[in-house]
Amino acid sequence: MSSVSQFVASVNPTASADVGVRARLREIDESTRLPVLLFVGAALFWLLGGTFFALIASIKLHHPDFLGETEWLTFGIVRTVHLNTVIYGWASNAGIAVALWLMARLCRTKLHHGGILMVAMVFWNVGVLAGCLGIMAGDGLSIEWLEFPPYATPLLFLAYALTGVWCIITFRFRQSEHTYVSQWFLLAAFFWFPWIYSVAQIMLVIEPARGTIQALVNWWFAHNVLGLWFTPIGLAAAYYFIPKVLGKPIHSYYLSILGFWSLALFYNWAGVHHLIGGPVPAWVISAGTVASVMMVIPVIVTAINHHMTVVGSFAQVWRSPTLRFVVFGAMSYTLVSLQGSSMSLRTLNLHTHFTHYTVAHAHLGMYGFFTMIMFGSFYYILPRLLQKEWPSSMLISVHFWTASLGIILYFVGLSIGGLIQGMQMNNPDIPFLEVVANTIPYLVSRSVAGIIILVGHLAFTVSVVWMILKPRSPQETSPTLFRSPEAMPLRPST
Amino acid sequence: MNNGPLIFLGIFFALAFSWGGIIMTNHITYGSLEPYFDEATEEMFPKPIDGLAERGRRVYAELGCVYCHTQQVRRPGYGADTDRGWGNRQSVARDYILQDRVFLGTMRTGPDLMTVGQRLPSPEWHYNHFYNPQITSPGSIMPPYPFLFEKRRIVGEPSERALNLPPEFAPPEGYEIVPTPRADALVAYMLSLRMDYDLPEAPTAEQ
Amino acid sequence: MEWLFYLIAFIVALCITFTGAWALRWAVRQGQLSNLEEQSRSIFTEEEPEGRQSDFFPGRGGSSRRSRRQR
Repeated sequence: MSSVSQFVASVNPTASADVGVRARLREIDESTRLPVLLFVGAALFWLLGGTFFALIASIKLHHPDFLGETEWLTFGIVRTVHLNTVIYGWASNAGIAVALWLMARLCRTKLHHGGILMVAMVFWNVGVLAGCLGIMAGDGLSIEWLEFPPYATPLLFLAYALTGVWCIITFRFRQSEHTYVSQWFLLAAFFWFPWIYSVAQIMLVIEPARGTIQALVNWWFAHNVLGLWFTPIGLAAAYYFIPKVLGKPIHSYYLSILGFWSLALFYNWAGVHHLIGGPVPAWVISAGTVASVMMVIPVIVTAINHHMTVVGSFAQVWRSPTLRFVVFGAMSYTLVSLQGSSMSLRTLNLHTHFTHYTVAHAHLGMYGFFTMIMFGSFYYILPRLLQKEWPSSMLISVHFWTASLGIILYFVGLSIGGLIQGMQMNNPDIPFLEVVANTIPYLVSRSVAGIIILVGHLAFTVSVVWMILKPRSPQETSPTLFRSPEAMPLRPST
Repeated sequence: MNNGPLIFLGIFFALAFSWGGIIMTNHITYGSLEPYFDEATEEMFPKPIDGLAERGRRVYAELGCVYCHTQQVRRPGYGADTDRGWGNRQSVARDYILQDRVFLGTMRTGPDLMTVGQRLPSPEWHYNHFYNPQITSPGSIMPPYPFLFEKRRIVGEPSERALNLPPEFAPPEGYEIVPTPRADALVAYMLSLRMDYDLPEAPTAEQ
Repeated sequence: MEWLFYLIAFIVALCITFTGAWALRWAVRQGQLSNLEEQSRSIFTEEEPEGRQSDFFPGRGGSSRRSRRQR
């Protein structure tokens, strides 16, 4: 009986006696240390693995004989393993790590039930590993973004459910008077993802729907993974770190809420623009196009909010590793979203559909926006978890410059290549093999960008491992940077 | 201030809206589409593909072909799909209803395959192309699939099934390249990809 | 059968609209939409207060040469 009441007390704040005290930030950060670090470690592992597979896939597209003898290294498999390691391995682990830390901090409550999270972390990563090995063994399903064989998905789902439950418990124990907009985004993300994932699993794998309904489900899911899972987490982090690091509140809180609801309303209709011209009802495509164009509203609103907060504080942004990455990510978000809206318009879609232009767009979203914001968040979170300073400014600079220049080169090169490809493909007088040959220089530029990005990832990994291993120096009983008594004034007086 | 319930209701209905609109509405309206019965010829269209081709479809999924090849023909005038000879009519929802997994695809690193069986009806072409695309399509960036073939020493008579390769791709003297059952299945699947029937909702364009 | 589908769709649409309107009215009555801007300050605490930058490159914190130069 007592164990039951203990259990009730541990998940229900009104039945619990000892939660009235609002924890200090440092205690909160410390309580999240182990689970968050585990997720960060797993994320880094998959980041390196995913980058490695990306490079192989990229090189194969201009040197098709490269590693061509081995079945599990064929392009269709390597590319798929790359996508799944970076989506479910890197981005999801990183997103969960940042979400956990943010949630605990914003709820002003110490982390309860850390054990749930560790179990979830183990299940999640075993699931991703099983899934990737399954794809290499030829069990991949060839459904875009859902390639994991059916034996890997229950693990992922269970892990996911545990994290979601933890999130709700923590939210119920919140000690803050206000619910900050980042919490809205996080709660929404944790609620949306299992829904879209289970619908997609049921209608595509367990009991496949008939004909092209599958395509609708597929793109409703795949686009919503971006729009309702990664985007909310990325925006939650941006909405927290930009004002937090600068020490000034967000430009307009009203706009942030408007941005939240318009995103929630429009984003989940937009995915069908991947099927423009395809064998699905025309009205669905029209609805998707309208929603994609309506996405301009949340994007502009968010852009105004982020950029107006930053305006006038560029010197501060430049001095902060966190903000360099996060502001780069916020700028990419604006760019990639407006680009996405334009790509759903039929005139442009006619040329960009089925080409590398779409690939460039996807990478600007997942890397330029989401991954950069995750890097920035880690630069803020890890010193506070470990109570240590980052070991080397140089490594951070190397990471920033390689990541940002790498993704710019990637995006520009592949976008131009994709446009040329699309225009020539629509001209039936140009033989198909000539169209292919004309894209090769741009595919090579992508491999170069990939190598640059890999250097940055190695620098980041060295930074993190060095930081974890190095002893804590005596003057670093707490991270100096944010306790400095003579801290920076908000604006340098002239 | 406790606005948890409000947020929750909002995020629930936001997604429920698109789930209902995109998924459930279409599932109800055309999720049980039936094949078309042509009374003149007393045949059903589309026709199911045979067992070997069905196994080839599985190989197609294992190797991730869908990431570079679409299987959809857009209407004439929208893109150059019909002008390039990828099909003489638009592909419509009914063309896909017998496929347990639909490979519409989103990328044309390689050409569309909706009607590849009509376009390239020669099995020899496909075997050589899978063994090394450079044989049939010099300059292609499609990967070779040598692991779908067996290189074996010729004992006695050469196999009838051995590939007839140009000299620069041929195996060393005394060896031959023979397709494995997976290669046979994949080629059968390629040849089964055709759209040589009319549906009332998508008549063949006048030539 | 088709009319039944549209009837159900219409009822569901009505329910969604009314729930939304009800939730909005409830939120306004609770005062959740007043004093919005105040909520944006909830991320600052005594430890990391408003008006102070809280992240720098290592070794170039509040008392760095670069920041002095700018003053």
